[in-house]
Amino acid sequence: MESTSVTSLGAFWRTFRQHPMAMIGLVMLLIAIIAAVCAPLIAPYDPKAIIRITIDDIYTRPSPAHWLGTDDAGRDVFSNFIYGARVSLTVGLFASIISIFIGGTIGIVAGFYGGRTENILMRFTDIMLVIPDLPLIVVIVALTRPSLTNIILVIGLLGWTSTARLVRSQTLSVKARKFVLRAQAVGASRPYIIRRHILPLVLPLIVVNTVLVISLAILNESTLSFLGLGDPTLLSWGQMLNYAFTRGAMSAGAWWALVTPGFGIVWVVLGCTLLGHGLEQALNPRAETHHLAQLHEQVARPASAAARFAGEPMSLSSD
Amino acid sequence: MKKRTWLLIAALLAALLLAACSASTPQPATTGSAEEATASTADTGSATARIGWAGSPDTLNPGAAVLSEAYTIFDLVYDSMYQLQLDGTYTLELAESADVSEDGKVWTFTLRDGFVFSDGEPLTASDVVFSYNFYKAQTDFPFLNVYTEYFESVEAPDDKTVVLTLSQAIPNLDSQLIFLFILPEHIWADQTENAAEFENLAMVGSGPFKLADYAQNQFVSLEANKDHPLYPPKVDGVVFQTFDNQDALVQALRTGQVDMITEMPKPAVATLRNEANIAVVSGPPGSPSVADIIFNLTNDGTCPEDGVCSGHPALQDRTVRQALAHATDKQQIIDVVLLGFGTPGLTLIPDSLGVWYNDTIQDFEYDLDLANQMLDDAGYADTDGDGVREMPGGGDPLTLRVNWPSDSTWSSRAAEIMSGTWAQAGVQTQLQALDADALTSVCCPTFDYDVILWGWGSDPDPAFLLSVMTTDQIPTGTSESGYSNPEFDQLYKEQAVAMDPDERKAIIWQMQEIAHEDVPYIIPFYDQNVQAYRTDRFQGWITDADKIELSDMTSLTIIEPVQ
Amino acid sequence: MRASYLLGKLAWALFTILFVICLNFFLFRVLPGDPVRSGVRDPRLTQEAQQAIRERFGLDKPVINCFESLNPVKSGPCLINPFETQFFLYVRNLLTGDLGISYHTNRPVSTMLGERLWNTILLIGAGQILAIILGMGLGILAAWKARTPIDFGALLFSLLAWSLPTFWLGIILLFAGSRYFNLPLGGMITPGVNFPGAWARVSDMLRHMLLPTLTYTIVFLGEYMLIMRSTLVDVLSEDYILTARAKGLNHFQILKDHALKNAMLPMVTIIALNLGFTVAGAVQIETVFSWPGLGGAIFEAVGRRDYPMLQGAFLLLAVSVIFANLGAELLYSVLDPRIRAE
Repeated sequence: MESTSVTSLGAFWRTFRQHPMAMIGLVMLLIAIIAAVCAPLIAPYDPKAIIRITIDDIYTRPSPAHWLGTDDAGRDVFSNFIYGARVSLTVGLFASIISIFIGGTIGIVAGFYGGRTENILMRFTDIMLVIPDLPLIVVIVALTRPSLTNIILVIGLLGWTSTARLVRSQTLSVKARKFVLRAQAVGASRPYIIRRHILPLVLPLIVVNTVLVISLAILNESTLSFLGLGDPTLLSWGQMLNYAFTRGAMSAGAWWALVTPGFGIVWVVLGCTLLGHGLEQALNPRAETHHLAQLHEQVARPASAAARFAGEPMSLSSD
Repeated sequence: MKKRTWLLIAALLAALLLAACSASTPQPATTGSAEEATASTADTGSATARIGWAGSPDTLNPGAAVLSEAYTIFDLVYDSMYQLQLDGTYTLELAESADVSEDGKVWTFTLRDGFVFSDGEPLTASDVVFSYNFYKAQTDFPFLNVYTEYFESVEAPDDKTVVLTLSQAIPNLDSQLIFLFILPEHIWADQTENAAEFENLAMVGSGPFKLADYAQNQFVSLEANKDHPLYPPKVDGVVFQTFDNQDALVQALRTGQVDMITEMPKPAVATLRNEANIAVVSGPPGSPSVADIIFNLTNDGTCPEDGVCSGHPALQDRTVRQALAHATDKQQIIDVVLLGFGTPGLTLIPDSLGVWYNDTIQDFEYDLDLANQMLDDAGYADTDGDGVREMPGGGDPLTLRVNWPSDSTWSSRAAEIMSGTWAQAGVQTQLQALDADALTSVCCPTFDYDVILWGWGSDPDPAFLLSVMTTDQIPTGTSESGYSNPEFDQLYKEQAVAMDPDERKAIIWQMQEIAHEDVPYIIPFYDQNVQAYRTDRFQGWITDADKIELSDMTSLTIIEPVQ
Repeated sequence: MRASYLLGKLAWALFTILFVICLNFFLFRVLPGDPVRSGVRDPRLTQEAQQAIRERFGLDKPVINCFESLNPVKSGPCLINPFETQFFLYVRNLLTGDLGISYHTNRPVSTMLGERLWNTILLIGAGQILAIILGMGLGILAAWKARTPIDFGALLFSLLAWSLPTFWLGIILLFAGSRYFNLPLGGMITPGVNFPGAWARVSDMLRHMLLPTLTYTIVFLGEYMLIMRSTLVDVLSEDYILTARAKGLNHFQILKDHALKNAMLPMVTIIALNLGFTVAGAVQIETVFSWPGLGGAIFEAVGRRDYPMLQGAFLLLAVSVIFANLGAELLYSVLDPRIRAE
């Protein structure tokens, strides 16, 4: 199993490289991550420095001193933008880890154990799917205090439902495979089967989903900030937008204060979706050509690349 | 898919496309093009002033309303005994004369002729009597019954005369009567049960304007009452349109979709000033409001029954509070938050309260050296060298929790600036925005905080804002600082019965001096109203009064279209 | 078999509604603070007035047997008539269709929701229909031309549209639209104007609708395109498509008669599921464009702590989503024979 997983990774990388979209997405994300990690090296100003300005320093146009102008507190938008990547990416990453962990666990357990467990878990998921998120968010924010941790928790705890559904259906299809049935017949324990057989086959789907959930979490953070439910002391792209929006950036003609953080969000979210989409295609190459495609004549339906690295033919549900 | 569905969808698409095309047809560059392009009826729109604002009335029922936007509309649609002028004085409106008895308890008003309700019924003394008794009887009206507190009886000996008897002589009856709008008895007499839930959609009033059309959170459309005996408007009507988004408000003025805006984000001022045909005006607002930085002053002696009273012990020391006042750079806050459109604040009584505002007080100037010196002298030394002072004798560090409502972006900017300068005086802050509910529950009467950035809105008489600092209000939650000073409490009682305006003013000025010296609050600024109007649409806006309020009745009744 | 399946679904929907009703009540009762005081900050609001207002809204009654209030937790008498508690009054009023009185406007919540609902349905309806049509169209095009530059472009466009923060796109469109096309900056109709005829009125409203609808369409079409594309590609690689080709049918016929019908299944589910998510979008769009709909009302109610309004709005939303899902499942079972056999 160990050796196959190494070759499977290599095979996966080879397939992955052939997808330009996925590569573009990966590069976009890497740029954002590098900017976030090296923020102190890149940003010319310290965004947390004490505010000592005059009125003329507010919303100044882009200039050599301030490449992207200044914001409503006279701070350098470019520096805020670079530092903001840290918070936005942190929120995206950790919120999605929470979502994926809950959603993945519920999905696998429900799918594998079936019966009453599945019923209860999936009913619970359905209810969560039906309840509008906003009242829950309002209440959680009022009960806790707006802070980085709490925002991550709110977004993470409300974002797992679609993952649970996806993972469950994938688990169901994996469970029906011969080698899983065989393992069960031999008397392997359920946790063992989940660890050794189910998880490796569900994992690719989870990875794809994680990337998409990250992008959703980043979008959600900006929405929360826009609705005034975020932490105003946090320097995230969402908060930059919130300040620009409530402090009249647009009517002051300071488009840079509004466009820059928005661009950051679009950049990362697009990077994630491109990567996610590319990953999905790399994992499920069947969805790349069909009987009406012009290329059909030349490219015969390829032997599934996924089959090579996963050891079994697999199919990803399309939704 | 069925054919019919597709047809339907196609029709919808076509309609939208059509709208898009009609939208993109070039329009005359003159003003008000949006309206004239769609409505070609003869000139109905041209003499109607269109006002953009960011709020909207919460209700058309004068008793139940809370928001100042509602009061703006009531002021236009109803009449009351007195009218508050923009210079802060009160003039008689409904009555042509008011006679006071020797002891100051019996007021006799003689009504002017010619006030008629919009449904044709004349306004008589019995409507006044009904209205005053009605407001007094409705205990669940949030505000208006406080103004009837001293009413003992109201009578109408004849159609023109109202006799108001007070339980005690009060110095500010005029200010108590301005919000007691006269309602038509023939309509409201049936609404005394459950009056707060009466929607009052017909809004029958006698004021200079009458309600023409209304859609909640969208617009209030008023028509001129050209027969008003005192303030017949020169325009045909006024429309207040609500914009949920302040940038849109500014843009609407620039594109000529509205003629005046009552507020705007301050950073927009510079851009609007460069615009042709737009004038920007600023000054103290018509309805007073004040921003404050609150210290938790409660201690074992003043803590209310259910209170937590966890305020930092250092805040009990007036020297610390004064030092913090010296360490607060008010001008920097005004520059960043208000772009200069504000004046440094002194006490809870703002400059928009006119004569009641004591402008002679010498403020604690921004001086970090002095602040440090004061704290050093008082024994708050930084013994462990971490940059944060400790209580005398090496106790707890001077670390203060600072809270503010999370939806207020001015507060978070002010908190950032404040925490920066306080740190230089060796006082550390923990900044934490709180949801409005959470803030109310830590504030008062719980007193589970150190410092809060918040604010008040109030009416033109200083009594209510002064009451916020009295000991009596600590358990009720109205006092947010827990400030308790017997001398101040005594003066508060004295001003309530000081009949001579000058004497009352002297007491109130003295109260401000005490409050300023004791620093229960640091008042960062008094905000100014910044409003703008199109000079090519209407002229005559009152821009030279002590206060700036273009949506005030006095302005709206004298503006006229530009020829 | 079929009947029991339907009954089961229906029973589950009813159970969910009951759950939402309870959740809705307790959710806002666990919040700290006093709704009467956190809504109004004015020294004129006296203790007596606060008490009278509390009585008017029934807030002076215990929340439920044994509990005076939930935050801070205060226990109270357990042996009281349950109909003297806020919870049972709430449920009883709900049963008679009474959603309570708004703290903010003193008007019945049901009336306020009624006014706002149609405006939102108009906006969401137009936006959704456009997004579905355009999204599906793009999806079909991309799937048909899979692995060509057209596919790539359509895909990139859809992913980009999906990545845009709704309010950000809204405010940019608002400025562009008002500046270059003189479109209205807010509301759904120009106030204070006597329209010469019905068409003038409708056209004025359409001008107001244009930008919010466009924002809505752009934000939602991406997802529909992606779903349509991937489902259709899957369907088109089935063997019966090959058979159809062998029969000599042209691409258009194959797409129309064979592929689309099967590809519609996942679309139906997604559209129904999306209804819940459209709310967040509606809140943002209606705030940016001052559109007097449900989303704007929710945003305002959040800011003013108008709990009856929030309760009413969320009940309405949850019930709509539950019924949309129920409808989708039923539709699914009609369209897809496999479900019935399950």
